[in-house]
Amino acid sequence: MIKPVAQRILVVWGLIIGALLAWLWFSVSHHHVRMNADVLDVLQINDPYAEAAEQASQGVANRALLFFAHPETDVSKASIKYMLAHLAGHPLIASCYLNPGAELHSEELVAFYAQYGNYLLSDDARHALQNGDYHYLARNYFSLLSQPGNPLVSASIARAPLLNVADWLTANLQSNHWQNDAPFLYVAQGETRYYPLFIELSGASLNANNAETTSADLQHLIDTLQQQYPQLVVLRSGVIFHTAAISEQAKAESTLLSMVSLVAVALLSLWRLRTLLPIVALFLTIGVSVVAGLAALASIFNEIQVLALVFAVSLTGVAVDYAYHVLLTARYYRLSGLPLARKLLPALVAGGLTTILSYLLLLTLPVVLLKQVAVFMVVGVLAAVTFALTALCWWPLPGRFYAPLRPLPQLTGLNGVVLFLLAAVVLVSSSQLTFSDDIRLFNSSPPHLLEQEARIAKLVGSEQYPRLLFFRASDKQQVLQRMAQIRGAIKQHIASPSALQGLDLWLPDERRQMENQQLLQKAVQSAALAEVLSYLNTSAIVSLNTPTPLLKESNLPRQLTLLAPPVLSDGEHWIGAMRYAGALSAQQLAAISQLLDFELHFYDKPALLSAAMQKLRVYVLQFLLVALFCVTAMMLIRYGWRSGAAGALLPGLAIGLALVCNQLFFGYLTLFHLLGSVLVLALLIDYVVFLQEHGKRPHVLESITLSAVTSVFAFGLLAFSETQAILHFGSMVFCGVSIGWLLCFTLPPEWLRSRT
Amino acid sequence: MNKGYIVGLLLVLLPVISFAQSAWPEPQAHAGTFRQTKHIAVLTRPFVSSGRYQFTPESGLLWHTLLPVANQLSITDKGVFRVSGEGQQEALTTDQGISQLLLALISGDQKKLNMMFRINTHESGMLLTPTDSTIGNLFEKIELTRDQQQLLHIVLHEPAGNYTEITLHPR
Repeated sequence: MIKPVAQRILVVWGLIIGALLAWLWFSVSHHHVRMNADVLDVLQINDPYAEAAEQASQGVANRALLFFAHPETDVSKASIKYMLAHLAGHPLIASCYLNPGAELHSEELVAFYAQYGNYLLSDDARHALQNGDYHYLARNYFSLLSQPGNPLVSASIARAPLLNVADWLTANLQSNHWQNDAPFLYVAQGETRYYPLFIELSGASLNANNAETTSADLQHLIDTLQQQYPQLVVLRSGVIFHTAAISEQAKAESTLLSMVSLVAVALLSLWRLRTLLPIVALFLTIGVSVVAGLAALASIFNEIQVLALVFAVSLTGVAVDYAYHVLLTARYYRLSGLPLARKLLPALVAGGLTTILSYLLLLTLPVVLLKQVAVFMVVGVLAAVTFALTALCWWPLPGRFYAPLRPLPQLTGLNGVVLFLLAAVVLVSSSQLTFSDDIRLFNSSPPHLLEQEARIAKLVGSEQYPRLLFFRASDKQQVLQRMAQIRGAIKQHIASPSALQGLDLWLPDERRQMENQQLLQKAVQSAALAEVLSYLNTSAIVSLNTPTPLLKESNLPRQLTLLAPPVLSDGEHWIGAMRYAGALSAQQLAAISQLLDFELHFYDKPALLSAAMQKLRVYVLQFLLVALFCVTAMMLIRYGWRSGAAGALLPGLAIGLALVCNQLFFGYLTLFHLLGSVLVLALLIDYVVFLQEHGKRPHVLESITLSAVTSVFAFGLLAFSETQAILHFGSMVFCGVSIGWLLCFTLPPEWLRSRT
Repeated sequence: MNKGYIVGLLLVLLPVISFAQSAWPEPQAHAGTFRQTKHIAVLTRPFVSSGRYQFTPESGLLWHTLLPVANQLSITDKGVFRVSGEGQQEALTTDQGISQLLLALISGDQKKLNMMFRINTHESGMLLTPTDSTIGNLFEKIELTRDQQQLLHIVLHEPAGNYTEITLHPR
């Protein structure tokens, strides 16, 4: 039978939860609040060209690339044709093609550039003519004409009779990783040819479920081909494959881990609490705090980082603490209602306030993610404490619940010497702790996909994270001129300039075109070309002297402009972008920059993300240290010097030892170890406060044990995750909570304010 | 059976029977000298080049032009490569379509030619008409002339009317 006061309290809480849920539903369904699941958005890249890089890389996520390689090239080509035939009409695939400039056949390419024959010279030809070596053109002319069946010669000679366009195109096509095997492209590595199939995905395909479907469909076709041709190698590159693999992995992991932890927590609670009603109270406490935290986030922020919620799960651990403490105190003292609330008020308020004050510190940091964690935690803890002191204290519990239970054994053993030794271990080891912020560490894609990405990056330089070279210019012509300068400078310092993609390759700047024309004119007038000219008919010779329009960007076929990053404008300047595949050390960049009379900026996304990660990690470390300081201050103020110092030392020691264990295990620490430390701190504050307020009584030890075991099952199991970030977080919580629990259990009662 | 039908059938089968009877031997190594004449509309006179060639099924075709300028090409099923004086190779084209076509022509590899062309054989050779549009963009037709053992003459007709004659003098 529920008492009328309890009924009223529960009704009020029912109304509050209903109102909060309605507000949440309204905010999310009316798009006042957007959930942002892109983890990388959390890391604020501090780079003046970040926006330009975003524009230059637009649409990259919607592209996928498959490479087919077989000792018999015909098999690779047949496989691609099979894929094309079977992917046509796929609802999540917009198009598949063999060549990014697919609609432009090689003869059309030659015909297009032959119109501008008087303006195009290969670097070698230009260099020779600039040095007065006009015989170069003659030698090249006869050499090209001697070749049997050169399609570039046949297609260009009528419009560019000196064959300089055939020479220019040969050089241009060679400076590309991609080779032509019409209608296919391919990349050669040793004796093996890798033929690509480019896939343009529809916008919806990057949603996790659709990515899984599309990836599975592609895999099915690949499996069929590989059954038929066992030697066929297929390499994959594209965000979609990583999204699908990570999503599948996360689903499998979360299903397994959540099932295991849920069953373990339910069985444990049922064993110690005996009936279902207290377990309902437990889950309701978690539910109320989470709903309150979410409603606060939805009211303050327009966009909520999903990662903030992931790390704010600490709240569930803290809420469970309060619930266990209320229920077990109720059983120990056989109290309920107001007397129970009075008994618990100091411990819950002290524990809650310390946690709230610690998390409030996060609001001072200039990182939205951490501000969101703070808001969620502060409001959630407030709701959990209020719910515990009101609803839980009046919670209807059956008589069976109050029957005495065999208490957990009391353990001691921690003494001043042990504590000193442990503190010394932490202090000495702290200088050995090393942090790694390399973003690539957190790539949770399966190793086979990463290996394929690496192989493709080696083949064509198409990396998962684009590296770009940026510079500013006053107009588009200067952009093209500067691209040519960069290309020349890179050629001097790096062996493989083919890793550089820019518009200048297909569109020489107008100044260069006019210089080329003058060089050609001089060559035509020289004696060195007399024999060549003797072959040309009148119309061909006239065409060499007839002015034609310059090659301009507006004339360039669209397919060619797609081969290079776009030229952008920031309203004031033009921004030139060149895609660069490969490593560029600071020394190389400095040497290249020295050859240029303008500033060259290397946009290295992996390095920038790592720097952002480091910044975030430093903030969290600062927060953790200040939070530990605040906890110490509060403990000293409330519990006096001896008890306060012991209480403050315990969470610090547990976190320190857990960090040392993780350093030994992983060889480094990351941001996610520190985020795990924040949860450990929040939990240990409660344990210490309950011990200080109520002493090492059986119900206190039991609530601490149940909370610790629950936390280890709920969060510590994450240490079995394949995802590095989650693994680090879980491992830290597992170690921290386990060590913290052991320290609490072995703490001598005389070090506590309440010694009973 | 209708007589007209039988005559029609014979007319259809005749080139096939003739082709089967005159089937070329398997590609074999051969070498000799060549003379290549290019007839191009924009040129006032044919462009003539000459030199030596050497074909082996394993390493492909070595095309060594001696006149009017010396240069050496290596044509393999991987592409066409310029061979420098030091023996280093630089790819001119890696288009297998081109290189495999040239190799099939010079070696008389009927299996490969059949995949690319409709073949009409006559007593002294073949007329090849591309069935593949990629080759069709390059060559309208190709004439091959041979004696009992060797290929002697190739004429490559381009769609724009230009054509190249290659005369081989096997050793």
